[in-house]
Amino acid sequence: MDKTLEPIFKSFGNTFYAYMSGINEEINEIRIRSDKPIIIYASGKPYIAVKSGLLPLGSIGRSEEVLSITFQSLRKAFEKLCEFSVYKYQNDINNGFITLDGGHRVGLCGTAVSSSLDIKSVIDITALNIRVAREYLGCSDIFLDRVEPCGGILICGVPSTGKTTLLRDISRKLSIDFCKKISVVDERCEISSMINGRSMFDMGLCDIYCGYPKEKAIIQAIRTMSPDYIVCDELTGNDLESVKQTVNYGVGLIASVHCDCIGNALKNPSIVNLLNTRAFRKIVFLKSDCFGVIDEIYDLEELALD
Amino acid sequence: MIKYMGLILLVSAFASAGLCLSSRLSKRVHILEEFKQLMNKALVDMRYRMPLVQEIFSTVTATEISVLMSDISDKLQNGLSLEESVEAAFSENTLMNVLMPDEIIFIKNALSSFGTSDLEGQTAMLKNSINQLDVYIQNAVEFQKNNSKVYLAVSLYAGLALAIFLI
Repeated sequence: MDKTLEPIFKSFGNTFYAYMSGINEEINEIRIRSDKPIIIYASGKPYIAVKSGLLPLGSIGRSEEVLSITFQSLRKAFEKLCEFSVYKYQNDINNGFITLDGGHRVGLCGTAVSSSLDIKSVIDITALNIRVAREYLGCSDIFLDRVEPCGGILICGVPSTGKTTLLRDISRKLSIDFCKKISVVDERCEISSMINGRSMFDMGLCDIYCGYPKEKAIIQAIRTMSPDYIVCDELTGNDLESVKQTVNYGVGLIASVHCDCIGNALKNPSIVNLLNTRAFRKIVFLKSDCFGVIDEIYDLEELALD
Repeated sequence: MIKYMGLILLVSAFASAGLCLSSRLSKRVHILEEFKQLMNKALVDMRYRMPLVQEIFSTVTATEISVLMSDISDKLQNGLSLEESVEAAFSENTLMNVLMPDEIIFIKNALSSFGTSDLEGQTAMLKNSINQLDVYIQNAVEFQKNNSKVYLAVSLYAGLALAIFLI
């Protein structure tokens, strides 16, 4: 088992830790809901955690005793994961996840305390999703062979298709092998998994803007770091102005969005607006149910945009 | 001669016992004040530096409670929960015996609540704890004023009375 996962599993108690230590499959995700069966995604497939081991989801018999965690234990585990300093993780918690040593991310679900449009805090945590981070050095080799890094690239894919991992490796490779100046805009610290000023992954020679709002980081990077490329994750319609800035300053943008196919991308006004900025020359779609595998590549000039 | 020496020793012993009891009262005030300082420091730190709770506890320099706080910090590092760490450190530390039971419970609860909520909640909790500690300190100071001289005098007179009785 990855050493960095040990303290995470220990947070849920010794029984859970012992159980997880006995699992040999490569774990991708662990979904823990209070007083509900624990679902483990291993080697890309969902399993239900029963006392005797892992069973494929849906094939559980009545006699099997499922593993679960109580609401109180979940709260305690959450506090432990936050190193008993919830206030320190408040921004991350409000964004829906916390990043732990090793770059692992824990998605949170609970009751939000909101004021007007902002989430002030999250109480009564009822579900945690531990996403095990893995660094696949060189996972962008094939990608960069097929997609020439010239101008902007928009990477599209559904969740868990490896967009962030791909962006991370592209940044590293461009900064080292291609000798490009790369600024990584990592608003939610997902790409670099920065903890106490130290990235949990090999980020090569990138300049990392961690925790900055995207629009501010992009402007600052353009003005102060003179990047060849700016890399950022999960663009939305709100980032339109920042994307336009990169075009104005002639900086290449490599970014990702959530989308499954070109048909849906062209129906999505936010993505169409992003494409209309002409910040991207290529649009790359990743295959669903695969990791970092290119499905389709489109040249923006060939697409008829409204 | 030996008889008189013995009597002097007896009176001194009673006087020291009184002195000891009276110094416990001043120690109680002192410890409560140190906890108040800790909470004030935590309040400032959390607002501007956001250190981990463990870091707050391990950097306490106050003379009386520093051992206790570093004990809690060590236990946290060893994987115990904050509540368990506080409980274990208090049970191992005899220094806290000078405090009243309600004061101990209050301080344990206050320390256990560190880091359990967002910044706004945390600062509100700390401010509340500081206000409450002020009341405890005030009571402890009054108790000390009223009783420290009494303890000393009573024990001295008791020693003298016993000495006279023995003569």
